Amino acid sequence: MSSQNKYNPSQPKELGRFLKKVREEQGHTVRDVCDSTRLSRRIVLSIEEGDFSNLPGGMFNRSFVQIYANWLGIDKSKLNPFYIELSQDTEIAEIVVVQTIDHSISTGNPHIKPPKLAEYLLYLFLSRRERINLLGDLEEEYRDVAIKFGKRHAKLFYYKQVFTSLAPLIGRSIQKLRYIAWLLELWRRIYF
Amino acid sequence: MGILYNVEEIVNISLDEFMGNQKYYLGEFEEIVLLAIIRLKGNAYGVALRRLIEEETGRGTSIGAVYTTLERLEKKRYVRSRQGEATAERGGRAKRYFRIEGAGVAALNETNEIRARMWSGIAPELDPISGAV
Repeated sequence: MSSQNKYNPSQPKELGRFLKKVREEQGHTVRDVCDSTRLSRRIVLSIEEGDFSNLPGGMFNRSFVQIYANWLGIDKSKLNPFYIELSQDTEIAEIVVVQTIDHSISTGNPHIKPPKLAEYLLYLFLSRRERINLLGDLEEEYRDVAIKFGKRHAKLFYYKQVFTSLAPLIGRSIQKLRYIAWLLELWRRIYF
Repeated sequence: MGILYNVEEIVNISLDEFMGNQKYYLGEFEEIVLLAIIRLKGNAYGVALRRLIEEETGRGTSIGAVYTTLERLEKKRYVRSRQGEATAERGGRAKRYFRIEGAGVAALNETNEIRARMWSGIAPELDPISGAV
């Protein structure tokens, strides 16, 4: 509480403008930041606007800023003019956030795996190339949803994606069968 | 220059003849996917494409629909793809990045022109200010 009071209200806005400027100079979009850091769009925009009112709390907010700044390659010392020295609490929060994001999600924690049955169902209708790319995409999104909304939501999201994907994939398979039927008909007309 | 111009003209005509004066027709979702690829620049892969389409159109989009459309566009040579890096968060599976080809841009332009021509005929009737509706 006391560390939060040390903030000059104008500083978060100044910090946000600074981070936004660096991001734009590097040619990155907000989406790039979200995709790479796993911070949600709401968090990134709140930091850039200097409006922390909708975010979880002081020490976590500072950790989000730290993650964003690290990703942009900004040295910790450069943040000091805007950012009053990190307290011990902040470092703890930072460790919690980074551990959750980096180790549990980004390094492929075996406990955060998409549902096997749904994955297998989709597997049946995919070409060999798609099995790598599409299932990889779905697993990436599954982890994103898991970190933001929990495993239950992630599971629901995954099943929804699988079932809504089946219609176009089955349609494509039927189309391929039609080609085979056409070739058989051609063969019949030529030889009989 | 004159000779070069003639050669180019001959090649164009012969290409047109070869293609049977084929016009480019894109489906609505194909058009959306092509535009999303352009907007994402070098980062157009499955997840990014699906999310952008979902955000911009405001309707649920399945990854299967995106991939079947991309496959169709690749067969038509409107897009080209390359295998990307495999990461742990993707279960060690690689990304596939897509980029638009010249034929894809031509198809988009053609679709846009057709739409503009159609709208030019009916736009005033739909204008609520004119009170025609």
